[in-house]
Amino acid sequence: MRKNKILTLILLTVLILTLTTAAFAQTTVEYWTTQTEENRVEIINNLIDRFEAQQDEYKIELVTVQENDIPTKLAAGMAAGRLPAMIEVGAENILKLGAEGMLDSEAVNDVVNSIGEDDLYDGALKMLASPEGGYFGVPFHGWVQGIWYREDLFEEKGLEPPTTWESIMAAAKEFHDPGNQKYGIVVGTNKDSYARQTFTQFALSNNARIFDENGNLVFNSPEMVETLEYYAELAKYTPPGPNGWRDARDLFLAGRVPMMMYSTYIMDDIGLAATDYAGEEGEMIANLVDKTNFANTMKNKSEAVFGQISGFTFIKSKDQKKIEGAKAFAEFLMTGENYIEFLHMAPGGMNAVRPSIANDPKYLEHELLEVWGEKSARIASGLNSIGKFGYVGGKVFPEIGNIASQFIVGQTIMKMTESGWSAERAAEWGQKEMEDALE
Amino acid sequence: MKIKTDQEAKLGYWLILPTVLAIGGLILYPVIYNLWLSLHKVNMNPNLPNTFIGLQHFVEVLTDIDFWTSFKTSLIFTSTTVVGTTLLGLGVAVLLNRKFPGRSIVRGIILLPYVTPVISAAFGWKYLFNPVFGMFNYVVVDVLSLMPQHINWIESPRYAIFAVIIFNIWRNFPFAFLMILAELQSISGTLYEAAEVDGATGWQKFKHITLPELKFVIGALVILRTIWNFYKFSEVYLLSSSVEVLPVYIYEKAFATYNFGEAAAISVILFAFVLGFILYYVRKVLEW
Repeated sequence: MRKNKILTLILLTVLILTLTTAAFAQTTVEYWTTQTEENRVEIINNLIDRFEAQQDEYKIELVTVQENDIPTKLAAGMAAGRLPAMIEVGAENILKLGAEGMLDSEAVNDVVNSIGEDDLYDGALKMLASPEGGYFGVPFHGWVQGIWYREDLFEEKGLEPPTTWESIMAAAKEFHDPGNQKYGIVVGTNKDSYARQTFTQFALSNNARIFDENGNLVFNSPEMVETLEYYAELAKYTPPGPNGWRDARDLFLAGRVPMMMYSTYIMDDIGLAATDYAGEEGEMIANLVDKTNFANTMKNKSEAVFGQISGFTFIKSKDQKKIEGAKAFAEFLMTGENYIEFLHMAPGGMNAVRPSIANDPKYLEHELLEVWGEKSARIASGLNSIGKFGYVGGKVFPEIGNIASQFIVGQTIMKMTESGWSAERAAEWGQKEMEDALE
Repeated sequence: MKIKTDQEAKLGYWLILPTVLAIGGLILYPVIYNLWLSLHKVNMNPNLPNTFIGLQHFVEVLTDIDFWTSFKTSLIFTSTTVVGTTLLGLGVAVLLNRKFPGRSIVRGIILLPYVTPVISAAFGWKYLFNPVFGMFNYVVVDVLSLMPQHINWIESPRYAIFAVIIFNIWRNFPFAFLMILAELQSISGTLYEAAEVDGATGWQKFKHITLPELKFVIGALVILRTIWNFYKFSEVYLLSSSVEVLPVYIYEKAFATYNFGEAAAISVILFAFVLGFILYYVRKVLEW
């Protein structure tokens, strides 16, 4: 009898255990991020641990992907039908996925509404808007681009800050000294995203666009030809051959160029010496933070600011449970201390898209942001007024994703700087390539 | 008796089944799938159907000027690197075949470029050719004044092909060296002794004994290196994205333009071209 009782008890325990684990079976949510650096992954893993400790329903599986590999991985994932539930990438990639009809817009809108449109910068929301209304992605963080310049050297020579076409060209000419391996400026002149990003700001400041308001390609417009002409002229004062972001960073830190175009991600590199911040080391000018200033607005025919918004988006899935998990994790990451911890992994570079966080004293309380002082608040303020090629008069043209992934803008610039083409000929070539890309 | 043979035959089929499956799954299936892709307009979204368009991709590729530019670049890259790696490998092997102190250490060191991971070697060369800080520009421009100004050897489309060729020869000549050296060591010393008795000079010995003995190993090296370098992606793309050899062109067609069908069509054309070359080479040059 006693034996039987024990047996029943054991069976009962087993039964209860199976039932409870079945009820609490966890759903695994795959999450792709472009933050691949080791220290950043560590921070994200800590946040995932915290999220998993708060609830039992969802498990997060982190996959890191190099930013330049994103189009490839997305293409392969789409073709194989194996995309993750949740992706954190730049706006263009999100628009492309949206245009392909891969996204769960409803889930995106749920998260935007739950955070509240009031507490998200308009400029950031605009970048992820769907042409049919609503959003393709939830804005998460962003950077601003502009010209970083050596204020001390500019003052020494009595030059104007590089905020207009004239002042930029004048300064580049003044400082250019290739015989001593010193150069006027670094802007993008290679077949990469960096060239498109730096060129865009010049184009926008000259009212030059890739699409007009009806979505027609206007890359060969007179405004664009004018911009290309100016850009090719400016490229004469850059270091030899095609240049990319690495040239801009290394040469500025080493004092070989007095100005270069870069995003806010340069702030931790420039601030390196002034903090204990552990970044890459190399040849570097002393007290660079105090000598550097940032011109984020460029003016010619109009004022232009350029930057990038990264956001979350959710891929359509038959398993609604995964989408719910992704939504919960996205909201978790954008809340209070979790959000601040995330942004602090690239202090200054990554900026908050929620005004309530951007002004939170806890967010501003970071060694590196303090080194930059009041400059850092002014730098981040550009985020709200970003302009881009894919957005005209409140309309969104997701087709820009195809043009961006083929680096046509960079190739057009190279036709002038490397093959000596005229701006008109290069613009016609670019127009034709873009037409082919949109076929 | 007949029954037993049948059973043996059955067993035989079972035994080769794993090999058939492996070859079918890993080689035949991708080749056929690639052919199928090349005849379709491939949709990025797997839920939407692909459209059959026949030979349209092939017509587009063969009339595309960019394809022929890439083809030319590939031919230049392949021919110069094949000749370069083989000649350098031959020269070094002949030199290191003599006896001298420390010979085995030197032979080991020669192999280093080949065994270094390609990514670290590529980054090292990038710095060597760097337009501002690079040693190459420093020596050529600042010290020797052979050129008027610093050049971006890695990224400039005009010069990058030279950098890629030099890098590839440096990296791959040890393989040719190794193969040729092994063959050299098997040539009987009596042949050279007999030649010396007949009063042959060093060059005559090389031309009439060494080269004929090496014919097959060099022939095999040339064909292998041609196949490898015609399809070479990593060593080119990692050093410079400005050199558009055909594999890089295919990669960009597939993953930057998202045109899988056309990319597949190019690889079919390449396959036919290389196959034709091999058949010709094996019959006419190697006379196998």
